[in-house]
Amino acid sequence: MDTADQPRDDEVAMLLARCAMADGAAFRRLYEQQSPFLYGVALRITRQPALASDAVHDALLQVWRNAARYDPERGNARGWLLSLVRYRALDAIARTGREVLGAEVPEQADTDAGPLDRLLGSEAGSALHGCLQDIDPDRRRLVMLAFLDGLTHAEVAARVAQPLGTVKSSIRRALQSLRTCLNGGPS
Amino acid sequence: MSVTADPSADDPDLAAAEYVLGTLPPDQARAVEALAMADPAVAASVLWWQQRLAPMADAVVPTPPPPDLWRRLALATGIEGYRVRRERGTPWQRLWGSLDLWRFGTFGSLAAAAAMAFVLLRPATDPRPEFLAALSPVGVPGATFIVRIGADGGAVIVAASIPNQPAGRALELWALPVGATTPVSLGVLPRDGRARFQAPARAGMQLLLSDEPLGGSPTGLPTGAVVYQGAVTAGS
Repeated sequence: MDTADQPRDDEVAMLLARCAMADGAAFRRLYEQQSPFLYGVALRITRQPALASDAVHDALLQVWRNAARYDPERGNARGWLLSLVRYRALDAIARTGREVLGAEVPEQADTDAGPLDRLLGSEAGSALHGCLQDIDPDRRRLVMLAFLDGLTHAEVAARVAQPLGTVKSSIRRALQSLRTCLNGGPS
Repeated sequence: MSVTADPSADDPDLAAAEYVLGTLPPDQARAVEALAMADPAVAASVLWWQQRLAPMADAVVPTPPPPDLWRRLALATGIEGYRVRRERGTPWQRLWGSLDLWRFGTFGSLAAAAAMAFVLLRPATDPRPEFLAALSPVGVPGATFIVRIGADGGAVIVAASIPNQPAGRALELWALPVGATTPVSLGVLPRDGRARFQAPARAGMQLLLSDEPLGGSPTGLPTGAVVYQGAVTAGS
């Protein structure tokens, strides 16, 4: 199942291959198609439009220059783009700190089950969706807070007012469950 | 290394998961990156988790970026002025035009030259050769490098014998299409002379290897002597 928000991954991979050939039109198309997704992710992490813009800018510039490094055999072209943007956004807040009074972005709503349905637009998303549903809801919320907001263990602990050790072990148990489930075993 | 003092050290895959999740403090995240560089199993774990967790980001509401972001990117990439909606000429002419703009966009940038450095050749994935080129020392017969270019532009170069490069110098590969007067960099060759890259292939195109500083030419054009060259011919 594909939606307008989630173009087929091989379409993204094809645009990346064209970018590797210095095809400016493909880069423009990639930008138009993926920048709202990537900017949304970066804004959620940095809470600051300027930092989010810089993260997407730097990541896409790297994509343009290094598109040949994307190996289609590894699959998941969007995942590659996402990881480039996330690490830049995480780097930015590690350097500058998070602006608490930054952009208005939803905080917790999308760690609930409802927005999780947006994951159903891809095969990998459906698998993750099913496995996340099997996790204890409190642990699931910690994992999603960490991933979506780019929070460290200590920041998650502060956000949910739980001891650091508790948060660390809860997240680890959730990841262990996810690993088992995503490998096809019982969570 | 701080990661060894962490319980995740007993389970490197779990440390990779925490790294991808983003929960590790910066020093531990750098430690996992170092482990991934040194240990292919850890690198595979990181990739596995990246692919499995990435769909979680679809729970974030997409947000249009500020309008000036595209303009910044178009300027930084040098594709500003590229006529997206009015493509004219043959596909080859359009490609050449965009390559030319790209070259000026990265002109003088060492970082860009480094960014274009080749991906290391991985075995068993050679593209079906549509085009072949044998690169010989200038003025001397005998192939030193063989280039195979697939229909999709995916290409590999291998050295028949490892060229003896002086310390601090590298070989940079350039394409010179038929009728063109300035070559386009395809990347800097690793010391073992093996690499994968993307090449706009046409029979008759010349491939050149020039002697450059490590990281490649700082000017966007060859600065040292062209030491190997050969013409692209249609493969069998």
